[in-house]
Amino acid sequence: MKEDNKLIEILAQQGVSRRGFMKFCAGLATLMALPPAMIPKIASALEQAVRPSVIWLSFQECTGCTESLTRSHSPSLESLIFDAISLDYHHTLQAASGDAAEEARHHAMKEFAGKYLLIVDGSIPLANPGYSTIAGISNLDMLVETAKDAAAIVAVGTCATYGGLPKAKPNPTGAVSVSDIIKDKPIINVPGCPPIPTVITGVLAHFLTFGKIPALDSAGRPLSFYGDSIHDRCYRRPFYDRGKFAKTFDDEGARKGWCLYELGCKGPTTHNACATTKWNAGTSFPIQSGHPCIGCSEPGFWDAGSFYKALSTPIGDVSGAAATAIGAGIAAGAAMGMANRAKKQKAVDSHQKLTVDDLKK
Amino acid sequence: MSDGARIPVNIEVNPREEQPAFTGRLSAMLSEILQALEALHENGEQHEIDLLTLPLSEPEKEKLTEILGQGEVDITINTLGLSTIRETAVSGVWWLNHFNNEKTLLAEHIVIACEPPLVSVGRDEVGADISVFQQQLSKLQMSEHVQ
Repeated sequence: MKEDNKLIEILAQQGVSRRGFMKFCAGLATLMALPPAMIPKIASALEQAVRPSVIWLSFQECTGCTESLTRSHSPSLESLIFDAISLDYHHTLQAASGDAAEEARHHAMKEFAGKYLLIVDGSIPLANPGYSTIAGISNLDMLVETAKDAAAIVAVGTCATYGGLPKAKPNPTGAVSVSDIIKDKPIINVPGCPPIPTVITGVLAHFLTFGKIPALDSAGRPLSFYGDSIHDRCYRRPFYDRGKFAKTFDDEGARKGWCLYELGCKGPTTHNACATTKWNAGTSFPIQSGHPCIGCSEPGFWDAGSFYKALSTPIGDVSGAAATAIGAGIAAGAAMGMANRAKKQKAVDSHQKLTVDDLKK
Repeated sequence: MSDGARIPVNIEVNPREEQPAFTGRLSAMLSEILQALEALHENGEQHEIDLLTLPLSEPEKEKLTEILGQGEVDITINTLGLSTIRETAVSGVWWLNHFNNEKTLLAEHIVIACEPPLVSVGRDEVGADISVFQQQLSKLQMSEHVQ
């Protein structure tokens, strides 16, 4: 990789015209969930941007995050973004293996010290380094070594961001997140199990474009994608406001597409872009397909109780609470959200297990 | 046939009559368009609205299409997949769609401008193409001279 390769030159070499470049910038703005007014600023920034080196490390993970990214639904834009970065190490995607692969990582770390972007998926086991190794190197050692000279770190997926499934109680491997270990680098958390592919790409695009990390929320997530709750942007929200809820998966309410709150939907306490960006080329998202949100982009969601009952199936009467929300508007909705978060914490603390009865509910 | 294929499955997905017709987002968007038109009229200021980030219901999208109507100009641009720009019946309001090579919608904007910024040609592009044009002309003149 030539360090002085500018993105605009790379695009021009591929025959991308000015209009194509502006279209690319418009696509990036949508990817980054930025308003169209930012398109000229994106174009201006990209004209000066230099192609960054990217090192991708995979630890205790299922490869679902990589699968999600490589199945992104806008191939021309995605391929341009990938052409615009230099993916110097990704042990699932790269052709090199063994010593050659590790040499590629060390070469990128040395040549682009202080400038490369480190992407991590998977959690890091601390109970015993032997639980997960790459080329005989423990995940912990590889992360610390590679993070040392990184410009920034993107933790992709709920395992890397918050520990995910490996960290679920009783956490046999002593799994922790990237931010539990690395304290002296900017870290962007892109949670989800897996994250929405366009959200992963959007975060990469932001770093490509502006050379810095986006604005983050208190959980380290980009506000542009995780700023709203699923509930805020859900097309079924009007049913919630009217107090119309599905009670089971095959009742009249379910067939009519009513709100899934009483079936355990975690939308009110979950922050992600599923309701707007959607999945599979914008086809649908879980709630649109008739299933409650399970809250996979929230810390500790595996230990937050049953997907169908414990977290948000209310102890009291939801219809009454919803009716209050209609009367009092947003304030009551916010109060219900706070109550849900309290229930969620309670469920996390008590670690309610999913039972067959829960599924039959 | 597998055993699974014999399982009777009947899926009803969100019958249309039960969809929430109007959420209030459409009137908010129309107000934004009106405000942008006034700014365009008064000081030439351009504005764009990203429709993909606004979860309009299907009836709202249809109503928006109906209210904006169809103008006189339709433009297609072929670069990184197709882009279409449609003039609406409201002067200064354009409907822009960007598709990729797979015909997947990448971006959908309402553009408030006297002309869509993507259409016009930059003078530097004109300059670059002048030299290419000159070369072609010279080549032609040489071949004519030889004959």
